[in-house]
Amino acid sequence: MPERSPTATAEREPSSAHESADGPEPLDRSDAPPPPDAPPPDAPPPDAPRDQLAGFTRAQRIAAGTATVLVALALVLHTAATFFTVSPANAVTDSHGDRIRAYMGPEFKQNWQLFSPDITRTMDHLYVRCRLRAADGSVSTTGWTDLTAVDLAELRGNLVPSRFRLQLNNAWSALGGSHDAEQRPLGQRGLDSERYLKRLALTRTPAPPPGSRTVGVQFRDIVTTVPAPPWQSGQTTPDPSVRTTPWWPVEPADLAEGHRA
Amino acid sequence: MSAVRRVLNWACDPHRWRYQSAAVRIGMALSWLILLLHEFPRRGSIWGPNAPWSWELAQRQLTESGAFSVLLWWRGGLWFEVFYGLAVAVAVALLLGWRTRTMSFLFLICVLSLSHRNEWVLNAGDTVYRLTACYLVLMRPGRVWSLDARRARRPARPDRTGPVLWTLAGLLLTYATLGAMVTGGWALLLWLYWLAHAVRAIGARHDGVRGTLDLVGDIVHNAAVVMLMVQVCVVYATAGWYKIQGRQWQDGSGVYWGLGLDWLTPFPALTQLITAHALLVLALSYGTVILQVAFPFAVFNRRLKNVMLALMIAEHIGIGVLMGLFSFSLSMIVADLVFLPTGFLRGAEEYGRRVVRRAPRPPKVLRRSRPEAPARAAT
Repeated sequence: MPERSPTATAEREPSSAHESADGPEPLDRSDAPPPPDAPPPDAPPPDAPRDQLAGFTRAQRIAAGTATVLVALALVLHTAATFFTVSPANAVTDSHGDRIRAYMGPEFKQNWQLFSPDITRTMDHLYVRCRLRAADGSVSTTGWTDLTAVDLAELRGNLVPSRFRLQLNNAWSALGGSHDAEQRPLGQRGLDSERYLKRLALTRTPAPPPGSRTVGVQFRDIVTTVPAPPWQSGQTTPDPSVRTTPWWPVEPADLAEGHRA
Repeated sequence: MSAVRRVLNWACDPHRWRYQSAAVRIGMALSWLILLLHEFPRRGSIWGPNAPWSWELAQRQLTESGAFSVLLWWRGGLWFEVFYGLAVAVAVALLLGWRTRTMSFLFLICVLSLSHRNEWVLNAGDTVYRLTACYLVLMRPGRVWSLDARRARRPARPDRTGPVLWTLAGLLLTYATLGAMVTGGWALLLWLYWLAHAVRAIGARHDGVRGTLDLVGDIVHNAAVVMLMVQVCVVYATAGWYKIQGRQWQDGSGVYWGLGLDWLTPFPALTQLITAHALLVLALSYGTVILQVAFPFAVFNRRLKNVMLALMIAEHIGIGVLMGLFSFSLSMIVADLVFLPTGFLRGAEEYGRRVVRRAPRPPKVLRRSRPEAPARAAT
């Protein structure tokens, strides 16, 4: 069975007689689609390409021609927009970047810099601790709860780990974009990212003792670095570093359903 | 034949990529179904109204980004459960090829809605699903391997389900538009798609109109398949060309660093088998880059393309197992299906047909029919 090699543009002409010979029978469009149970197309394809437009009126051919031109144009434009979405900054993205982003929207948005150009060498291990207020008004601080352990436990030895394990890391990485250098939230987005982290973390911390209520949380990130491969000499591995957030107050809205503070 | 005529013939060919688009449709629907059922026990804590990424947080974010999600139409847990059930139903319908044109559109809405409801659980695979679902809407992926194809083979009967579905969709759409739940470009698109179904159904009664509409449909189908191919090439080209610029990939240790991250090692012992060998790491790193950079050029050569495709799929399976990225790997394999040779897909069809024909028979008959099998295989 001859196979058509895929091509990258709609305008490409058939390179061989095989190109348009997928089915054996000439297609009559005024009929129902050809029955797939028809004899298998083992017969060699005809030497001349089949004329798809043979049974059509002049008006229909003009319609087909117009549609082909318009669709080909759309194909070229969409391909160009896709290309400039993934390309590095250049003269076109400098002048038309906004227009391209608006056209691509959230539907065609994409980024394929997978593990490139450089692979991150650092790993975040997140912990959280809570500040509890007891019924008598006294305030205490809990020990650190390992948050990342839950995600790693989901991954280890699991051929099909759940996607819930991605949330914490993604939310934590996004924190830099919504906070300034002094770890102050930038507008509503910063507050929302804090709320998300709090809600996520408080589903993983032990419930406070009866009568107590969580009034604040603090995050700690221990950043370790992947050691260089043994065959690369002269590379040093930095020591783990620690990053701590300020204490964030906890409100009722910071709790996901079924979790009390 | 003139050059213009040849180009038109190419663009209008109704047989082009019927099997490839059906394979992508089935692959998409199946992997999405697996995803929905796999996350079923945790669905509430990922996308539910009271998930850590709550309905209110998602609403504020989507108001800013302009992304579309029907999950924001109502806040209640009931709507979420109904949506989840419908998403499963749509995936099953698309898998079977029942009302493919309608289901592929509903499928896109399901994919967008779930993706945008919680963007923190997405990986690159979800982008592949989203883009493929977009292009699938413009294809005609139901002309083989579908209930639609079976219906088309039977004697024509007046279509009752179609008008019912269409009316229901119209009512829902009216409600959503009046309630300002869909606005702007999405409202326009949904209404146009809804109207197109009516034009198609009414036009089908007139041979000339139906022929013209079929022509246009085939042109759009062919372009959409080309676009999916271009998209897959863009994925590989981008991933490959950016890798070339990184020092870790230049010195051939890229795979070592990727596998060294603890959140990408589901099987540390297995990973160490690879990362312990400098030459293996080098071969895999350079091989990956070569494969990704070369793929867009290889598609123009049939044999080379098929070899590359097999290597690509093997690599995806490896990544899926070694790095715990099964959903990403699955999505790339599904998108790669568009490049499968027609001969291979027809062979798969013939094989499937034989298996199905043989399976339901009782053992006695099966034994008697065995001598026939080689003869049938030879046809």
